[in-house]
Amino acid sequence: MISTTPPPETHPLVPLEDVDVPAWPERAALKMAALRLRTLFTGSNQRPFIAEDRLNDSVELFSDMATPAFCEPLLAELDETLASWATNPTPKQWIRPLVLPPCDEHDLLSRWAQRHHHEVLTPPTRDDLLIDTPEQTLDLSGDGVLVIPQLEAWFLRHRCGLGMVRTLLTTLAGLKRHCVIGCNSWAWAFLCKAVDAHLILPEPLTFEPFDEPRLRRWLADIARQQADEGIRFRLSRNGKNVFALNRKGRPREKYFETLAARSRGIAWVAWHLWQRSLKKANDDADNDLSEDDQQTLWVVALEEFSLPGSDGTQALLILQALLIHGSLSARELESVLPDPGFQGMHHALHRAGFIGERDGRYYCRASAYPAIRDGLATAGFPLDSY
Amino acid sequence: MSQQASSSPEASQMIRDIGDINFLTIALIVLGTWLAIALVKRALPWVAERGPNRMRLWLLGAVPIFRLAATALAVIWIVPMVIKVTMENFLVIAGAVGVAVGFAFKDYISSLIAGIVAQFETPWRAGDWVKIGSDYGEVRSVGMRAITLRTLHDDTITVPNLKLWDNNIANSNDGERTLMCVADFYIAPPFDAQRMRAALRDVALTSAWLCYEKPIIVFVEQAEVGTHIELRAYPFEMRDQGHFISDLTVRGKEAIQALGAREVTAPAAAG
Repeated sequence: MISTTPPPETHPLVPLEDVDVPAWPERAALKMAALRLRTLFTGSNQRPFIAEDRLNDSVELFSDMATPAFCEPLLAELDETLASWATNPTPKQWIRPLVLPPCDEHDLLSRWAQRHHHEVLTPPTRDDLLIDTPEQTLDLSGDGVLVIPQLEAWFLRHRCGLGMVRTLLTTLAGLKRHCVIGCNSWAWAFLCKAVDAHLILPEPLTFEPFDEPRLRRWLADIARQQADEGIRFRLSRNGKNVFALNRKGRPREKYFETLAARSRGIAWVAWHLWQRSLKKANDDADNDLSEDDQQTLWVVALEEFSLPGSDGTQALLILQALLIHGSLSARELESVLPDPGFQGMHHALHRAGFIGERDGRYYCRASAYPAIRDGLATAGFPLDSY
Repeated sequence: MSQQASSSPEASQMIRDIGDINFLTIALIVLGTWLAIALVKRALPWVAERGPNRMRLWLLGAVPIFRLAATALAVIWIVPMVIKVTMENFLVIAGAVGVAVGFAFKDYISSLIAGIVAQFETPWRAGDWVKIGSDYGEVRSVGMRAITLRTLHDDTITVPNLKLWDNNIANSNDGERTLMCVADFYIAPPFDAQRMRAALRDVALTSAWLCYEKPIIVFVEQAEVGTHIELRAYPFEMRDQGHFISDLTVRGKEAIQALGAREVTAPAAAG
């Protein structure tokens, strides 16, 4: 049934200003509004942040997430956008800023740079960022394309933590060398305010958000590549094939339209949500092996979870800091938060599945991003523009 | 009143016959209006507290408007059930009410009228942070006779609408979701003023409470006790103004110390 879905197409990157996040299908929007009202009247403070069953039980079918195949469509889009520019000896713009959606756990731009053997500028350590040395200089001279994969690694939201990024941007402003700068959308929003990044650098590009057709094709393609032959993906709600198309070639189910809206068109967020929605029945009879020897994976409905808007200020401040910086150690986190007394909250967020931890550094998990963004928006925090 | 009405031909024409007045309907209208107002008065602030931040001011502001509209509707509904509405009757009633009010309830009625005027002039709205006289706080509710403020110290103050006539009213946000916060520093000269301004600006820029859409101003003036620096910035949520000013103050002091400058206080300067 997956084979009826055409393979994905590549889309060149688009200006950040033109980003149009996929809209909710009417029925899903109504359901979400009803759920939020119910949450409002029943009191959300008693509930866990995310239901535990959602976090503990997922199919390990596509566990090989580190393979480049996962990023392949996005790398192809980077190639399509940057290939001719990178080989142009006199480009109109030497600098190409790319604003990437948040929760990029796979460091996409570094992968792209490695694949093309471009020079990657190593960021300073976070401790170095806090050393106040006004006469800092950077030597960015050289040949070929220079890649700065994560601009968010060049500052710390601390009163002494902006010097290095100012120096970097000043140096870049006069640079006559191909340079690709990646920055996550939350850091970009902050840097535009803090150091006028939008005035110093040219207009940034970003991925075109994954809408329903694109998302369906992309996930079908991954399923074709990585899943065993003969697996069917059926909605647990009605048993229908989630990839099925009608006679007009349109999807029969609204699942991917809802997924596109919930993930805000961010590929990796959608992928994580998709992975979490796949369940395997415990009973072999429910796996439906009898019919054409196909195994069934059940796709459960995407549920709406939200952070408490008014009483979760500590949690929200931590999540905002992590989104802006990409990842932070516990000590760095303490240095960018306003008040003392946050020691316990990041453990609670980690336990609840909102943040992950790798090599002693905390980061917002892609699967929790929709809930995190909703929580921050509800509480009035400044948001990114993706 | 009914005896007087029956003894005067004009009054007997003005008031309907007792038998014609449906007291049950009037009671139901009064009860229904009171219930509706009470429900809205409780429900909207409750929802505003828990709902999206951007909806809070709208929801809070809708309470007095609903109450005014419901009261007006009830009066318009009830009056023709009791009084034969003609221009003569209206003038007679208006005159009688005016005299009674003038003597007995002058201040109360003045507050009521001020409350109605405030609905249109909007010197305050529910959710605004206002200073009336020496009282500063968030407008928690706007009543017909008085408003209630909640101060930064969590005191609740009831301010009669009457104050509208003869007091200066400073509205810090005027219906917006944020307001300017100021952290004051007094520094002993000499110090590097340009570096100080830049450092304090970075203090505001790196505050977690900062509203990105509003400007940051570092205002410097020479005062008798030293150089007065005001760090002016906006939090993204005006309720966080206490946290925001504390954050600016604490980290501003660190920045001042890091630049080798010294804060002064008035007694020290005087000494």
